[in-house]
Amino acid sequence: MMPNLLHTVRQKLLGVILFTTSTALIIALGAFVAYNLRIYREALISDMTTQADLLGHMTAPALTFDDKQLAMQNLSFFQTRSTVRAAAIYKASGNLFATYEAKGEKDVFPKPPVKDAIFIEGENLTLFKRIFNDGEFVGTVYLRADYALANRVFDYLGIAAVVMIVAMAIALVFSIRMQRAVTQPILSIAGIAREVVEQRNYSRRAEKTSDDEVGMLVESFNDMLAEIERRTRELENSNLEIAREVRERGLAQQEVMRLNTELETRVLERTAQLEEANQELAQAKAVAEKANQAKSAFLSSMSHELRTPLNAILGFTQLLASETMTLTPEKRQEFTAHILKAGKHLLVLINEVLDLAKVESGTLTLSLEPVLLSDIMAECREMIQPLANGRNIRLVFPQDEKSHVVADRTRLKQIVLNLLSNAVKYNRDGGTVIIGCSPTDSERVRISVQDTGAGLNADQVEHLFQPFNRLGQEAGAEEGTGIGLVVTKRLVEMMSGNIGVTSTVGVGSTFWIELKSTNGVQYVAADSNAKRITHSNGNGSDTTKRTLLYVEDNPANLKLVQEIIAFRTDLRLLMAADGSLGIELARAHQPAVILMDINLPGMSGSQALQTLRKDPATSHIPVIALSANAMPHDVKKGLAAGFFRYLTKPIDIEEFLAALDSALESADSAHGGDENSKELP
Amino acid sequence: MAQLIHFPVRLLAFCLLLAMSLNALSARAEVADHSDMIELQVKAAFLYKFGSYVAWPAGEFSNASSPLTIGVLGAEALADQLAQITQGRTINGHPIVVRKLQGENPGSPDNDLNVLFVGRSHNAHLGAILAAVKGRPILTVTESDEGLVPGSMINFVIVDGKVRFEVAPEMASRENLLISARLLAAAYRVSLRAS
Repeated sequence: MMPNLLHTVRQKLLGVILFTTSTALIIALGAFVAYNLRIYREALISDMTTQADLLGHMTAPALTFDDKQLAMQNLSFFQTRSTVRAAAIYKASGNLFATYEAKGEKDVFPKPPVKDAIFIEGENLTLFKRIFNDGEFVGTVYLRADYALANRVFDYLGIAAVVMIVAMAIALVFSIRMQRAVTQPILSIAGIAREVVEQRNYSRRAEKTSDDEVGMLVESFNDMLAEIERRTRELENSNLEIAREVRERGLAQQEVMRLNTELETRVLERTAQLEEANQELAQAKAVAEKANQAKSAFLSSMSHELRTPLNAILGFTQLLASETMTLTPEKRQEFTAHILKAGKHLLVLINEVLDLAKVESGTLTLSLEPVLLSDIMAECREMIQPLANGRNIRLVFPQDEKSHVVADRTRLKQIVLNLLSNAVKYNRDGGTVIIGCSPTDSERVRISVQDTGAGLNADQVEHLFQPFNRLGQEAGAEEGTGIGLVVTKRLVEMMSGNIGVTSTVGVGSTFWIELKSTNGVQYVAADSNAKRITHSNGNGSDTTKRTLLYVEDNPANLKLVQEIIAFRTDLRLLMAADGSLGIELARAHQPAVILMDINLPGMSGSQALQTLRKDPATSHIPVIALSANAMPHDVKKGLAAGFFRYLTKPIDIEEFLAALDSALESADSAHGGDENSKELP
Repeated sequence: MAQLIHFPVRLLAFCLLLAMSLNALSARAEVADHSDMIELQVKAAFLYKFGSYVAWPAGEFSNASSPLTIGVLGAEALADQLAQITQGRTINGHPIVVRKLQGENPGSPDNDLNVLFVGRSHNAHLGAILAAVKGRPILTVTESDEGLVPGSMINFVIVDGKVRFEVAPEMASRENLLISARLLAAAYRVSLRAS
């Protein structure tokens, strides 16, 4: 019965049945055999005891009456009992009285014990039994019988083996037939279970064929299937529910994400708006700062512009008032003319500044009305013609101009005059000024003023409408305020007009304004002329005299210094109108001292000083700054830049001469003094 | 009690041995006395033993310890011997009384006999003696050479020099005495038919 041989239930069942049957049989047979052997033994003992008793009883008279023959006769009965192998009767004295031996047996007939005894030795059962008669001990019976236990055991084993084989065979046949009743339903359940697993069809049910444990198994199996079916359905429903929830959550999440996106978009919009506002603020700040700077620059420029004519006025006035100098009547007249001219210029300047102030502050009031352009042109022509004639400039006005524009008559005249005077002033001698007048469209009229001057580059055009910016004409002979175009622009704009300029360097510029028209336009021809500045030369080439170089763009200042130096016989004056020329002259003539204006066209005085300092040929020459920039920080900055002295305009002649002498001394000490220096008296 | 039992057995055994040894010399006359003596002793022993194989009718003994009386007629020596053997012994619980009968009527109810032995000396009128006790439950034992005479239930005989006895169970049963079959088995001869 090896377990690994029992693969199937049938085999197991068969094994159990056979095992059980054989066990039961073995136990039963064993018990039966043991019982039988015991019975055999007891029966044998009982039988022998009875035989002995009977023999004793029967033989008692023989003993009593000493009848040996009777005793022998009694013993001879054992011939029919083959189990009794030997027997004997002893007298009470223990002596043998009679004996019996089965055929082929030999017995030693031992001495009888004093008591009854039964003992088994090997295959012999020996029995001693005393004989009593009427309570009197008369003798002893001796019996020796076959105790054939081994034979019996063998017999029984043989019978048991046969019984076993037969019983097992019958059990095998029956169990093979009966196990079908057990295994068939189980196999059918197993088949259905396999089908259920393979097909996932939980609605299958096993058929119940009996009411036994297998029937209970079928019922339990079916219940289990029903339970599984129910659970499966629940699980599927639950899964569907979960899937639905997942979908809903997904939708909710998408909604949240969409809201987030909207929120982000809104935040971005707000941020952009904020940035825009910040930029606007920054721009406004920049504009305000720029305006502030412009204001500062304007104040600074105005200070400079006002000082320049004052310098001429006060300087010549000092000369006139000087008692140490003897002046010819011609000189005196010439000085007076200079003073007058500067004074007039100052007046114009102040007026224009006032105009500008009015325009800027908004206090200027205009009375807009239809103005016939030809009238304006005629008036302006009258006023500008003398100026143009002075420089042989031809004025070309449009003929029969009939246009009307909406403007303030007085201010329009001021505008046109400003443009015309500029065109004349900055024209070349013998040049032409062409005034144009044409409608640009049905509502606007353009008035253009074309000159044949030097023209303007892009940079200059950019700075054209800034206050006090004279675009390099500061050194020119023509007086100018630098405010005219600024005021003009403001006025045009106040009349809802535009102003602009197109210019080609070397050909000329065309300034234009556009104003609202009322009707017809007429051209008025006009003449104009222009003028160019020229470099002023020093007087002669006296080698004994020490050289003084003055770099200054303003002719009046040049003239003033020229006149001052004219009193110094030891000095020769060289003059340059701008920085680069000044540097050239300094290199060429090695002046003892250089006088340097700061606000020079192109290269500034400070830049010229740096150039001079860098050049070994000129680095030793003391340079005195002579500037209308009179603010304390200007002075400080100039001295720090390396100027020997910083003198402010208007010139104090004594201070000027002292500084000059000091510089000459310094130059002497620096150069070992190959030239003499003289002091002014 | 054991001693009481053993003693006679030894004695008997002794006697038997003696008898046997004497038998060998039986051819010699001079030893006749000895032989007679042994015979006497054996007969006394047998007489005593017979009681245990005989059942008296109920009511014969008034109680369990009533004495069993053995009357001996015409055999003084045997009576003495018997008395000596039965001294202190019992038969089926009854103590034994040996009574010597002297020519008187053995059938007298005064004797109250249970066993009557009639010696050889009275064989001449044995019939009369036995007739006298007829009708009463008395085991009669004789030593007649003629065998069992009417009225005699047990008769001693000498066979091959050994004392044996004949039994007439019919005679006994006539007097309501039951003789054990075992005694019959040990008897030399059983008279199945009363003569």
